[in-house]
Amino acid sequence: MNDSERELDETQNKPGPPGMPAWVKISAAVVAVVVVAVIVVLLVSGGGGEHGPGRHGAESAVTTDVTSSALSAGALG
Amino acid sequence: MHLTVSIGWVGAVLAYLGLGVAAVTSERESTIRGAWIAMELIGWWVIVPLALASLLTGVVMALGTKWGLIRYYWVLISFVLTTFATSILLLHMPDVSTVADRARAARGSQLEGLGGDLFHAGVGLAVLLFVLSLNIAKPPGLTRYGWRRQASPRGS
Repeated sequence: MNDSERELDETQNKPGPPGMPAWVKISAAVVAVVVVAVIVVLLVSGGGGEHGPGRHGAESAVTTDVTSSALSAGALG
Repeated sequence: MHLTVSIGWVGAVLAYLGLGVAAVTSERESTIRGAWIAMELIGWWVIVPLALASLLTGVVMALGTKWGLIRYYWVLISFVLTTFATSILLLHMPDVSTVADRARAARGSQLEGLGGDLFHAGVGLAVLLFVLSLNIAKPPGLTRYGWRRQASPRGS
């Protein structure tokens, strides 16, 4: 019995739809923690302002030169 | 096809990351300048086409097979992450071009201040490897939609 057939069998035996798998919940939790950590690090290290490639790569000092020309702060990339 | 472009995307990001490391660690102006120019070229001519091809072939494959696009969590998450990564890439590349233009004209400490775009490349690589692992492992888990499709007599 392959995965698809097993899932089909489960749908016929269970009264309701299946819940979210554990691996999805764990992955979501890990991603949430990482995202929060990154945001905290950016805020602590003087985040805010404009966004650009040099912001993450160059440590402080000369990044002003780069970020001043970066595209709008709304762009995530 | 999907496998080829997806793995090619990962490889291209690795090359981009290597150039970024060179741009950050090198003290030679020509290396830093060359790295940024190469990063721009790889970005627009290799990574962007591979990302779009990966997204397109992934959607076509999902819709054309039993997996569907939103029936299984691993497919749905792969699709969302690939779309997210491609969107960020397209939004980010103009910034890379801006920095590459600066690298072409910059001298001395101006070049050292350009960084290496390691954050975006690193996070992007992590996302791609996660998606790749999902595609290989295909972990079980039906979405509510997938469950309804399979529970219905006409479901497939």
